[in-house]
Amino acid sequence: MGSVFLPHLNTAWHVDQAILSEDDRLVIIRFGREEESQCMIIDELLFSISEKIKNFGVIYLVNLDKVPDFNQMYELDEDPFCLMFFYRNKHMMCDFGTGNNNKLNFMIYDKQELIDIIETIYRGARKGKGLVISPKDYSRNIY
Amino acid sequence: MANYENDLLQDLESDDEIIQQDSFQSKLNDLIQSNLLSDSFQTILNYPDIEQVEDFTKLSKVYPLINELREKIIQFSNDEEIDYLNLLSSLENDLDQSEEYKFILLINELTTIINNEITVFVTLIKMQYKLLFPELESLILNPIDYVKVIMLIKQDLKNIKNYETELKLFLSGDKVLIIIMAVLQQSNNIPQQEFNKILSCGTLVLELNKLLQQLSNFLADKLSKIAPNVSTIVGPITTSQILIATGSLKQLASTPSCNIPALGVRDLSSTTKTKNIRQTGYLYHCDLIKYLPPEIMRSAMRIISGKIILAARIDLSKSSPDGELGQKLLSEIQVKIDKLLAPPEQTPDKALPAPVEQKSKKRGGRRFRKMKERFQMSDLRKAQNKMEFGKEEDTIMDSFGKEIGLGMSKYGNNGKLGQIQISSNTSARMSKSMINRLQQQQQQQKEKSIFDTDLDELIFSGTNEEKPKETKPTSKWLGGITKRKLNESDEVPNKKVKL
Repeated sequence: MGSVFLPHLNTAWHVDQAILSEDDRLVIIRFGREEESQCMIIDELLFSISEKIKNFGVIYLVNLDKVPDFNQMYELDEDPFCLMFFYRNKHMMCDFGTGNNNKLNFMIYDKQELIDIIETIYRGARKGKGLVISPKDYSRNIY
Repeated sequence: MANYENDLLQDLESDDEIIQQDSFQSKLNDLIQSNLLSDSFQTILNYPDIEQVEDFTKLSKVYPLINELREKIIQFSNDEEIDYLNLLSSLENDLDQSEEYKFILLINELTTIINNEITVFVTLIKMQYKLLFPELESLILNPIDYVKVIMLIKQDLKNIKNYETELKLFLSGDKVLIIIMAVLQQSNNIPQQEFNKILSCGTLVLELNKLLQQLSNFLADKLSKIAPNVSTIVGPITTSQILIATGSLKQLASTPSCNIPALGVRDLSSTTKTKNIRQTGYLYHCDLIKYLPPEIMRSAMRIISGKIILAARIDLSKSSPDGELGQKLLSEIQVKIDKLLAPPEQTPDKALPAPVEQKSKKRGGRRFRKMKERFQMSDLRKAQNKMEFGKEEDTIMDSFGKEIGLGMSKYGNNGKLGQIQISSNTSARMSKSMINRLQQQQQQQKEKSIFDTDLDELIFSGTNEEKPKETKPTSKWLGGITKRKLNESDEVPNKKVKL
């Protein structure tokens, strides 16, 4: 359900514009396929926090099948979904302890956990950092 | 209520004049009495060999009395000379209770019994008709409509479209459509003999329902004269029940509204049935309340009982004989209930503030440094925490018998005796207001002691009183602390004997 209410980006141009045009907020883009169950769960979670984080972050959804332009560059096709963070046209990396700092591609079920990650990335981004360390270590992520 | 019945019974037994009525009344009374002892629902469902029963009218306790009841209704509704108001007010003096009044009393009891019986027979029908068309009971929730539908379409499910116009007489169009759609999937059959049972049961239910309506019409007719406003709010049956429970209109008008829901509460065990509602009395069973969700039932009852009392007072003063004000109150109640039923306004999640880190405004300066110094660890304490390598440290025992190591506090950081300077910053201080307060307190104590103990002295010695010396408490306090600090550092610890 969550995917219905959140804004979708339908072309690569839209994705670029969304990342470029946001001046003082973190742009969180979910790449994935809405029909997959994990993606649905994360969409629901994103929708539930979208109102809370609107002061420092904005969430967009991108369907991998509709917009395949980034699949190769970001290696998006491997996971059912992934979250990527951008601040002022800059890709923000986050050390989750999973080995992949580029994107969040594991399940998160807790709203506050996700809000914490977004806040941490926002803080780091404001200070001009490109890589921040996640508040929680997900290297032993058993879901 | 049970006492009333007993009284009535005794009353009736003493009356020899009306034998025919006596038998009828006593039949009714027996019925009510037996219902008090055991719930009719239970008795009928527990009836042995219920599947073999052919004539369901035998199971109903009310059915044999229907015709007599009808006659009575006609008889009493023609009696116009009897003022109902007088009837109800005559309750206070039990002696002259007329036949009609007794009848009305009985009707009140009877309506609940009839209602019970209707539910019982409808459940019986449901149990059997399920084989033919199981969805119907979930499609039509109203039991009377349910029975009517069954009576109409019988087993003829395939040709249901022929009945469409007839169904629309008592059902809404979309309901009829739903039924027709649902019927198309059914293909069961019940043997005709079994089905006859359902039909007979159905006629019985409709008969009972008709009787119930007649009774309520009769009551409404009577009540429209005496309590028009109350009966427009809660309907005739509840009105009469409440009126009879309180005694008279006058008493109802002087009853506090909080007592209305408690009227007619059968037993305290009803608490187990409904979770939220404690008071399942007459008001609980009135149409306004019955179909409300249980969450708002309590507050709705409170609203309605308040209005009932108002309406009763209006009725008592006879200022609105046609129930106009009652209608107004009713619409007020409906507005309020609608408000209660409306879902709470949805407020969106409050957005979190952006986690922008601002630099702290405090930068430093003399006062800030002083303040920080005050909470720093003193040099002495720092030295105490250090230990000389290869040497046993000196210890002292504190007042609790605990051994405290002194570390290098004796030598200081440089290892030389008397190196540590005690900074005055870390010593305890008192605020100015605290000092003032202590001074005041001491002053007061002194004055008090003059008046208390030295009263004789004052009297005898006259004006030669010498003022007690004033000491400055501030210096004493602070002086004491600094002195102690110094003593502590100079204290010679009892050395442990070296081995």
